[in-house]
Amino acid sequence: MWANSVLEKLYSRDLVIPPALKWKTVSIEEYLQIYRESISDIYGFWEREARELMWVKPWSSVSTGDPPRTKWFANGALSAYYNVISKHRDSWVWSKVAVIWEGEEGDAKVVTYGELDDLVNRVASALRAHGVKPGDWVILYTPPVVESLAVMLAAVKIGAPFEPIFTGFGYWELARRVARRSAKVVFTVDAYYRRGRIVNTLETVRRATEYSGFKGEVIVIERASLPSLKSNEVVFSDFIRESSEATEDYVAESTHPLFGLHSGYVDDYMPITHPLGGFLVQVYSTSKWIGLRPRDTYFCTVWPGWITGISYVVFGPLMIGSTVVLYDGGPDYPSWDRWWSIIEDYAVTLLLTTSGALRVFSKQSDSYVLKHNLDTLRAILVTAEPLEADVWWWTYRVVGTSKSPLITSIPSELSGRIPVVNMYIQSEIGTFITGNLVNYTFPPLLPGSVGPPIPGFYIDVVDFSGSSVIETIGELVLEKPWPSMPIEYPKEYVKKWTNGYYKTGDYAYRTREGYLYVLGRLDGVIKSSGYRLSPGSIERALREVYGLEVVVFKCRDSLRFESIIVICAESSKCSDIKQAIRALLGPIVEPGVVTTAPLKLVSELRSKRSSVLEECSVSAINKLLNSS
Amino acid sequence: MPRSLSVLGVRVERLGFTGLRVLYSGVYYCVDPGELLEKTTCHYVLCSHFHSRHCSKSVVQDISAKYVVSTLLGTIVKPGDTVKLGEVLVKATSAYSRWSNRHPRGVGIGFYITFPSGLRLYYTGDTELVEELLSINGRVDVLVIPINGEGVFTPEEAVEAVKSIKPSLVIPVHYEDLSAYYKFRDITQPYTQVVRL
Repeated sequence: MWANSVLEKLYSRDLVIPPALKWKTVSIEEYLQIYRESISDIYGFWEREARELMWVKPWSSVSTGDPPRTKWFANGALSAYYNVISKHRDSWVWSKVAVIWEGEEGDAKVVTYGELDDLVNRVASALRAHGVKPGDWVILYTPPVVESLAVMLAAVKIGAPFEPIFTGFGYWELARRVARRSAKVVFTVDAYYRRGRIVNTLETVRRATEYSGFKGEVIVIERASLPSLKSNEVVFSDFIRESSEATEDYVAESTHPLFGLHSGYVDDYMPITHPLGGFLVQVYSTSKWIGLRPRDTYFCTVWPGWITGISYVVFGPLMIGSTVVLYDGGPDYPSWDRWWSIIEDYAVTLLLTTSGALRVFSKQSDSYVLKHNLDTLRAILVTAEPLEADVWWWTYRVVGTSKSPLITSIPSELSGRIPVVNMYIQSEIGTFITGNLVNYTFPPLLPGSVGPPIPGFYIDVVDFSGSSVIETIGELVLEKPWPSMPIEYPKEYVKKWTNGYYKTGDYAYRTREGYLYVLGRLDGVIKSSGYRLSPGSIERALREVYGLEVVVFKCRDSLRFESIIVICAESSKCSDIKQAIRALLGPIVEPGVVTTAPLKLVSELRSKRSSVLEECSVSAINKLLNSS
Repeated sequence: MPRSLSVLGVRVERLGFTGLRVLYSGVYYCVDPGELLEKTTCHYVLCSHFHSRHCSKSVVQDISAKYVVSTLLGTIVKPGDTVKLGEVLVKATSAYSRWSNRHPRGVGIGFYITFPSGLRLYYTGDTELVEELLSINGRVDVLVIPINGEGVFTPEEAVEAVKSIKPSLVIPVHYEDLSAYYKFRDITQPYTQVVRL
């Protein structure tokens, strides 16, 4: 089985205690005691955590209903914005820096919590003036910019759920999401810079809104080069100009929609919506546990559009009162040391990034890292896809040692100093659910693993009959619901709940001590460079727009984890398929290999979509075709 | 390093060894531009003192006096004096060395600059940790502070100033050896946001 070969690359027997956490590391037995206690009474555990938030009306019951329809903190009411931003008013946090933004071209901008609140108020007031009411959806299609963060918070402030869409997606995906959410307003930028070139975002939005028949307003944040606007487009600065009226922090029931995402399933991307109360409880607790403190300067390279970016850029760090660093640019522009330079120049203490990014960085010269002094870093957090043991070691030694010795670290030997913590997250779950916790339970690290389960999440690995397995590859499942159970979900999500537990769709392997290795999707869903991509969406788009019949497979890719293979039913249009996919679905969906096959074979192959080809090559595809 | 930093509608750039160029509402305010003054667009020039890396007398003398604020040329100020340059209010502050004779008392000054957008930028000038500096009245959003210990703060002393003044953000200047920056950054980090500009 291909999952075995993934495990071989991840697997490591060395338990590591980083010098920086030498006195904080607990034994696995101590961890297990805390963990078992937490899952013996999940509801009591999360009820205690929920008391950390400010509730306007207490809940009458911690949870009601059976999964997937479980609702948490029933009848409780709270203001999301108060719990994220307003609570800092009149504290020292108000005048501290909330966000540092740096653009690829080198200009930076700083806003304090007080200034961010002022901007949010103006956007919230403008949204209300433009007819956006509680429950109306606000869509964003922007790179990381401060204004975009303010828009998401403004939506939260007035009770309007928001969905940020990653700018790596093309117009067809954007159009469907705008239509599905019946969005009232779409926010975008005019354009942005990537690797020194201008990316024309507004043009993509125009195509999407035309394709979806969107009738609302498009608000354009000035970023790179403002073109002349159409009648339904408004410049952001004009949008907020007249709005000075203060808006109250909207108070809603715990189950009010807070934000949504489209999650990749085999057949398509499907909308998921998270609830206000349960999500905030879960994200606040996990943010504290992963190590965020008010005095941290935190650089997250994942932007909202993916769950990590929403949970750990928009909500978690701001609830804590940390400073968030946003970088709007390519990691390799003007050279591969851009991220390390950001850490050095802004005294970053916590870095959250993806396995895919570290894999690419580890292939570059170490000198890009080593010429920088990264001594302020306390921890490196990693997520999105499996992290090979050798990439973990590279990160631990080359990025994590830095210049000053600490306890037993030896800088000249790159012996490692700070923790590199790999964690598992999923859009449907909302937050990290596994990993060594810098500010809570920190047993020794096991390179390549995603650590043990986080207290409060009842995680298991089961075989196909549903029995728990240890030291055998099975599926990662959650045995009990979690506070941020989605309140809107597709039938595909409902199907994931069988026998009372939730199947994540990921292969996993659990060690005897309880550490977990996540090995990739067991269905046809593709994990490429950390992105969760739907093969069915590619097939649907090409059929709908170009009348092409294709089948999409995934293959092992040493850099991206998995790559996309498209087998096109013989047609003259097949030659332009890469370009077509780029335009419709975006550059992140561009296939690695395209080939052709007879139509009948393409239809037959669709049932084998969950297979993973060991190589991204035409010969591997031919082998597959011959076996059909 | 970022090439500029915008805070509350004010754009700040580094200028040479210790200087700044600040843009507000289309007007450039240059603080201690050194020899770079000749090649830089500046609508107003603020000189903390006349050491070549700060302000060069010969270069400044060529500029119309009404655009210069210093202790010797143009609009002459002493600590406590306030002048209005365009929309911006500039207050001269005390700056001197206690432990060396490089910056005797009464020769140099610092600047506490208030912008209509609400930003308060404090450029301490070449000073050590003197009493007047710690009794600065008013909020400081951005503190610009020398750190190399040559007649000015050592990195450790600069951190003490940060802890007392409590700015939202600090930009260290006046150093060539990066180890001074790292030392200052690593000790300051928990107290305020450091930006290397």
